[in-house]
Amino acid sequence: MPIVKPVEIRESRLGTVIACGGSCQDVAKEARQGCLKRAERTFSQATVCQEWYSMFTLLTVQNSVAIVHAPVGCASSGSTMNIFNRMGQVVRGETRIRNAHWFSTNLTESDTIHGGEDKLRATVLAAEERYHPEAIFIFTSCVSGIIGDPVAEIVSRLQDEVKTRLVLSQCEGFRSSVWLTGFDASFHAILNYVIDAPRKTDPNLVNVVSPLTVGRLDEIELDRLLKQLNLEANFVPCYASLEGLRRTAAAAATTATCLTYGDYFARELTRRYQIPHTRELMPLGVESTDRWLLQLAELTGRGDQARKLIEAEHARIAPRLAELKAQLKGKRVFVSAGQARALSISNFADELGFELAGTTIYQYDEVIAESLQRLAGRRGAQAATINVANVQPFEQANLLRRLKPDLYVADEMTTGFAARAGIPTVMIYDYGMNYLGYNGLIATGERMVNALKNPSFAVKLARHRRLPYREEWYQQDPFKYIE
Amino acid sequence: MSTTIEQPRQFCALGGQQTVVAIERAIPIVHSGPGCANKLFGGLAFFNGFQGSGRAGGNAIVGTNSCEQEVIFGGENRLRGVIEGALKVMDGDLFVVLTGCTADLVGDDTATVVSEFRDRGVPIVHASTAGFKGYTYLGHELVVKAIIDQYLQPAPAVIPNLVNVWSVVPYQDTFWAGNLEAIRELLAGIGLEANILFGHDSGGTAAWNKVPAAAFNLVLSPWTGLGIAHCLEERFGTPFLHHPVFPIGAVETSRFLRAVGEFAKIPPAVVESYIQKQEAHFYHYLDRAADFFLEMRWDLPGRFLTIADSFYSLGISLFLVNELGLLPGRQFVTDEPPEDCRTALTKQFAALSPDVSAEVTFTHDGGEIAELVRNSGYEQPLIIGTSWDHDLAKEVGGYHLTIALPITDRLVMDRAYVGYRGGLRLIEDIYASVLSTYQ
Repeated sequence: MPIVKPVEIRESRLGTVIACGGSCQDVAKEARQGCLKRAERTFSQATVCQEWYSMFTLLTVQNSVAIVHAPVGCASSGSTMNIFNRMGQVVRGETRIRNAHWFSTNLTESDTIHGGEDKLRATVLAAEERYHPEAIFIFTSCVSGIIGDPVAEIVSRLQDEVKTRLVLSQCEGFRSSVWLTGFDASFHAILNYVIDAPRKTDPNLVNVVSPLTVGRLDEIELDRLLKQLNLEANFVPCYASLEGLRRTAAAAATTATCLTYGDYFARELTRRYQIPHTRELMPLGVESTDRWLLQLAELTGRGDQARKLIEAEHARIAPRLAELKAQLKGKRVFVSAGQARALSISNFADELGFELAGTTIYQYDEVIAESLQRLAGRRGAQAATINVANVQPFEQANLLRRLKPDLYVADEMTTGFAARAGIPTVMIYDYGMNYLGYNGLIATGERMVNALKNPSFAVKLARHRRLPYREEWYQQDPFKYIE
Repeated sequence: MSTTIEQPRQFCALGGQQTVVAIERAIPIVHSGPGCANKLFGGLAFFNGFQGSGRAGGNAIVGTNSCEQEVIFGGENRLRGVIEGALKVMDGDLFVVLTGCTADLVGDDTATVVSEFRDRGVPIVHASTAGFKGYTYLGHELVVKAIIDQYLQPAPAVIPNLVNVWSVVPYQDTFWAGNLEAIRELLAGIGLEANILFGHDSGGTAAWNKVPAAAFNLVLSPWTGLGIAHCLEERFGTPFLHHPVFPIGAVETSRFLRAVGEFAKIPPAVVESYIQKQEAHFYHYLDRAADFFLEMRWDLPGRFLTIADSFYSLGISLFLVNELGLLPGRQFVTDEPPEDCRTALTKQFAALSPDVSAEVTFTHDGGEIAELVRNSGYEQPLIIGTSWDHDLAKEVGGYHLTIALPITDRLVMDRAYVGYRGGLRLIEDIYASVLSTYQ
């Protein structure tokens, strides 16, 4: 089996930027002119590595085992994701809920000197013997990379010894300062180790590349819409079987519920198997969902049906949307999320009637370029603050003090800190709720209204808790440490 | 330390970052790759009883996020810049720099960078906690030793009733916060001021500065913390008492208090008076539940198995055998104790009571554990372990209670299992689990 090279890191493939800040107008202008350079933070808080996101992408694939070729710490993602793995099985109606199968090769000091090949081999054999899975996913690590274990070669040789399909994700944390590379590493693994061959095209089949953070209720909503266009959704890679992954080669088109996540996979399916793909960022918000549906429909020759469906959906949700808009009118919201969600939520501010005070976007690159320009074109958003940051809650703490938003809409890395600053919060995704599509926007609006109705938790928390920053920090320029 | 592991139940030495998070107003600075701090927070502190980020933990942990640049050219300059920034941005009384695999593998001279700041009067120390060196328990010790060696100063005088407590490891033990508070309360009951050093209201650097002034150090654990006590004895001449059983329930807690009382030369009347009161409370409730234990006997599990670190495995075994009259199956100790401790532990399990003994297997490979349990033939065993063991318990038709990392089926606040009340909590939780299977 040929040796597979690692996927290109996002900094070089897409010029992804993780440090930048300013008004929406200014940032959009610099982006347009190609001036957003790769800046560094001279002071930073710990971010997340690509290995984590690579595991996040493959963990829930059915009938598989994961091996983390690293000291045991890197496998700490295992128990983290296992709970979501189980929840996902429950909501998909599985009766035999099972743990994900996690192994660590447990590299020790001695292995850093002598190499970890023996351990990797022993672990692969143990994994096959214990579970006879369809696939064994192997993840590399900073340590395996620095000590120079030739993992691609090792895996290639090991494949001759085992029946299970070995799938290698080369995702050493230190190789990319942009964690999105981890998604690409996993899809690169699927493309090179799982999808064997082209298939006859099924004209009604579409791939829907979807991250773990898009929950089952979201899938159900999108499926509802696609079925009305007589399209069958092949949701990949989460909870998919190996056959489901291979079946992506038979689709008429690929779309993604998050283009940031699925960009590499979609492009490669086009390049390798001539399957066209959509470029809409995320079906989050009415306008975005319209565009998402239309793009997919145009690619599969059902544009007219889609237009009729969109009109019907608009009419159906209009009254409830108007009610929500009235309740959210004039509320100032700060959004903190991955680039796709952050831009999508910021863009649907008009639909729900709230004002965008600012947004933290975890990364910036060409995938969201159009979305950012669209945001900058909205009168209400031009003065909003854009903070491109791979989290960095210290910058946000400073921004929130200045901007004093009424509501903080974010993901699982920062809501606690905003609440401790006294701001009520709403999550931008939740495995158990609906955010995407037309019903999703209504559900999201309702959650925002409810959070504002009773902010007592955040208010009480702020009375008894202070954030760990010096007072002087709040007087500084929040982007002071970006150079 | 050399086998592959399925279903990890502890993490790497850099997990010591959580030990820093547990010290009030201390600021951890992690010099490592971009993923370590966040992953360890997730594994040790969030998807483990949902303990939360703490003050300067979670995504607020200061980190150098070392990437290709730092690996090829070295990360010392980056570290210097990040420390400078931390001093300006973070509000803290003690800064602890921990190095991960990347920094230690590429040979960054972190100690020198940190000493530059220390020479300027900054309260900062450095712990070399590369993940490949060992597990969370090691990381915890390394962090504490760093503070002892690089920050603490000798005390002018000994504070006669002050005792430093070295026991459960913050965050790794999901119930560490409640446990340490309970230990403090127990020792206060016999007239000692316990310096618990970690957790809410533990005193921060003011408390740590008192460490050298303690009358003695108490190592309340089978083996974790012994290195710390030796270090303190060497540096400050402080004697220590090693009580190798984590006391759960009346029998062991009374035994523990008597041992401490004897060592600290506390008048026996003081100790006995407190013990009497506590035992009366404990046995009142044990008696109250007697009708349930005796008449609902068909609910009592056949055998109990613990799959946990040495604190809980031994502590729970002693409690269930000697106070509830249960019978032990094989016990699994997962914290990889050193050889001499394994010998001692094996002896202790062999003599849980004069008539009852248990076999013990030292392993943290979930697959190996599952295989042994499946082949054991126990009927309806009570499995006290981790969230990983839920499926196994179901498979063998047994009951399941989570007590050790990872715990993803419970929200843990200040619950404690140590002591008299800890025993009552454990009984309640065991039977909540047993009864829930019949609802």
